[in-house]
Amino acid sequence: VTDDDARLAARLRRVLEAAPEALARVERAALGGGRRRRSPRRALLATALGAALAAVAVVAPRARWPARGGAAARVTSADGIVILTRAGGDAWLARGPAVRAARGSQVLVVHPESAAEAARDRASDDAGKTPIHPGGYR
Amino acid sequence: MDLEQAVAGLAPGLLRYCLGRTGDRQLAEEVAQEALASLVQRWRAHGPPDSPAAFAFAVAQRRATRALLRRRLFLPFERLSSANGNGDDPGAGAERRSELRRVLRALRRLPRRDRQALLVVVVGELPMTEAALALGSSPAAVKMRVHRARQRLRALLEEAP
Repeated sequence: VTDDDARLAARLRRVLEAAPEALARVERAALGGGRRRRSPRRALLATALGAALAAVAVVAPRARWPARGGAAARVTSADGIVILTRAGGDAWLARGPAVRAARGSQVLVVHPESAAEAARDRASDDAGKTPIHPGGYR
Repeated sequence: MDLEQAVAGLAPGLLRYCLGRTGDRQLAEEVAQEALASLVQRWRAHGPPDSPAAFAFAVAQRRATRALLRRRLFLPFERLSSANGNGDDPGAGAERRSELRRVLRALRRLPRRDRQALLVVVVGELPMTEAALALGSSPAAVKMRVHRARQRLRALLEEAP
């Protein structure tokens, strides 16, 4: 590591340094059982987005809205079940207004065929059988 | 090392890394908190991971990516409601904010993987082997990326007004 490297590193760390209160907040929250701090503004936005999603799911079961890369995200309702798949690939199984649960997550693409599959899983859950994707649905 | 010490030791570097990734202090705090909370959860349930630092940074890396995607989704709402700017600490001086903007702008111009490596190693202060674990790469590749990123960043900061 040259002197130039060291100077650059020091500059980056100085500029990106967090305030002591922020550090204390983060440590306290992490050790206190993982309770998340969310700024009031962001929480308000999350609520607004959740409400908008719920409205779309309830009012227009087959609504589309633009997503990244020109793809279309879709909320599909089949027998009152709404499936939202996230970027990670795991699916949400929600009903009508419960789509609010998806707030704050990335709603990218929703597969209509997943609806039928998840409905089958739910039926096996109800029958006490092992779900096809244990832990995959919330 | 006990859990509290590990969290206290990791928090400063992790927060800096998250700010470098997201460019937003509030978002950085949320992401760092989530990453450390995951570490705490894992530690309490199954004992410490092989490398707590690599574990926390790997989680932070994924969470930061998701948070940035989510922010794009929120952007229209943010534009409607943002009366008070970009979430910077209001007490911070104008000079510090402008320096932060300059550095963040230069960081954004680095190739993604080079930027990640630089942030984890230089800003987050992870040793090369642990950084490689966190980034899912080899130590040699990380070293090369950091070297390249340093050179490029230095040039970008010099040419910045």
